[in-house]
Amino acid sequence: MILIGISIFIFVLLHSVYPSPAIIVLGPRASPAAINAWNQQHGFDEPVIVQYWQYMYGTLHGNLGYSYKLNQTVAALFGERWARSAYLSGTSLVLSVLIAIPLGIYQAIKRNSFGDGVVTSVAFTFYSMPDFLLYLIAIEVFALTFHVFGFEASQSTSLISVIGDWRDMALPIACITLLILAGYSRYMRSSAIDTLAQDYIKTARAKGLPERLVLLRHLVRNACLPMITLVGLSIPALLAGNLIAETTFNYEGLGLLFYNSLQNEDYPVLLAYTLVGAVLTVLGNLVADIVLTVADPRIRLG
Amino acid sequence: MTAYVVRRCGTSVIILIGISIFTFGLLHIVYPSPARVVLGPKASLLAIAVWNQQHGFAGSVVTQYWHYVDGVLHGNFGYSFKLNQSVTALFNERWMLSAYLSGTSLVLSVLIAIPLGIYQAVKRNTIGDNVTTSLAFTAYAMPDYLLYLIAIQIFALSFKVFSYEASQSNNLITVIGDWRQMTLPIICMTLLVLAGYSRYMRSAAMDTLAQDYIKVARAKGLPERLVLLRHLVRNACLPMITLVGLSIPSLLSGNLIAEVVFNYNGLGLLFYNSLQNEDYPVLLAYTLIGAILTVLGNLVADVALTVADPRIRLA
Repeated sequence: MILIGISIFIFVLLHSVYPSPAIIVLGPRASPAAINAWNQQHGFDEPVIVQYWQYMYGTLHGNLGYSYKLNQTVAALFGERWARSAYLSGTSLVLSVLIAIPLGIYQAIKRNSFGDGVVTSVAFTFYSMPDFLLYLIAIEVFALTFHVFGFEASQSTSLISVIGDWRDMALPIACITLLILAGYSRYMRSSAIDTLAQDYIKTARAKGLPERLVLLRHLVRNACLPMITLVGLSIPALLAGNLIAETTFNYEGLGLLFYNSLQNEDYPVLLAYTLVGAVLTVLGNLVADIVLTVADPRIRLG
Repeated sequence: MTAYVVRRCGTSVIILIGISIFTFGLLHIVYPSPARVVLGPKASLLAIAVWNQQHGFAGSVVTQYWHYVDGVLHGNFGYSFKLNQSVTALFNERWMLSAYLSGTSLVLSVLIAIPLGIYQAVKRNTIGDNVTTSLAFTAYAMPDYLLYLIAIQIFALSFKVFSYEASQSNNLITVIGDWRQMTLPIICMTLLVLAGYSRYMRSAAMDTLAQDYIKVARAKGLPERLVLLRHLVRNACLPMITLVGLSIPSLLSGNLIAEVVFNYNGLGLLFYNSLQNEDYPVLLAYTLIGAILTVLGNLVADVALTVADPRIRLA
């Protein structure tokens, strides 16, 4: 239902800013008659509903539209690039979650200590720093001043060689991880503090369970539940964050494609990207809800 | 209560000191001295050393950090040698404009998100809920500049209802008066903030609807209107307080893109231009202020939450 709604909105947006690619194909000097003839031939003069139907039909068959500027189908453009974007975001997301969980729990247990204060300061600084500033500082320090890592991401189009180019990929992955981690560790800290105040933690301690087992069995499992929703909801933010990282590090993924399409006003690509983002958001939500009901038997399926 | 506020402020001060050390460290690594910028790329090493000595850039890192903190506490956030103006003066001219844009969008989003989220929770899985959810997901997943560009294309270029640029005045009163110029940026930012807020509000309202006290209120025969107004709204709004407190830095950086696209002369556009010029003192002052606002937003949200929700134990 929601996906149908989203497809209608995106189609309407596409239709109102970009009713027909005829001008682009035929050039700015094309006569109105030629444009009409072209529209007629390619089905752009049908009523809006028929066009929407064709758009939906295409989308369901994996045809996301055609970029007349790049003379390639959007599906082909995305097919070449999505694995690289998924590698960049996926690695950063997994790293952030793996670091955020122990970090947040450490901060919750030792709250208001020196260590908590230091981690909180660092997290707040990264949380409020615009992402491109962090990328530029990282490039300046680690690539230009100390020559440890490459100033550009890997330029290879094959995923295997991209993974092999770890010196080129370390900076983008580390920066994105830091930015995501800054927010996640805060959520994890407050969720762990909430969990620590629950009665079942007191019970576990009262029955003499060693502190290590209290933390591992009772705290970690319960405190991680809100993270599931958070990760599910952060997929579009990841996509958009990727965009700036890919542009700054010149990494040939979906984000850089989007950026270039924006410069060219290549609306079919832009709106296909938005459609994919919205579909991923809905899916992320759905998967997070299902995982949550599996992980937390207390949730009633009402 | 007072003791809690005092203790909470104490923690915030420690965190602020940590942030200042961190920001200073970054500034020091990427931009140890502005001598190159002032004296030009052909300056001799000797001239640079002399200039550094004269302007206090030759002391130890600790002394320099002390000068930096002393300056910040006296409202001196550094000096932009590229623009030849103090960062404080640059920020003073512009912060009202940015605050107007973000503030209006934030207030509008909260005012719309609360009734919208409650409506969606009460009528969940109806057509109305699904239409709103689709719209919210589309806006949530759309990169912000794409929304701005589409809005400019439709409302400024195709239909000429609003202007394609934000107000160019530097005076806040005139800016508020130029509503035809300000409508598009404010509406677009509101939509983007609203998309996230309405989802949080919807799930908060759904959680609250499942609570026992709502059942009790209904069981004792309270009219549905009063159940919603007295019991649902107050409880469902509590998570919004934290959310608004935490969204201040993202508003600042959201502003940045809106201000660049609509050419609005606020802090965001200043940051963008400083980025092109590698004007690090401005960039890091902006980050420092963003971090301070985040800490303050957190503090205010926590204190407001304990006032609004007497169940929270002040441990």
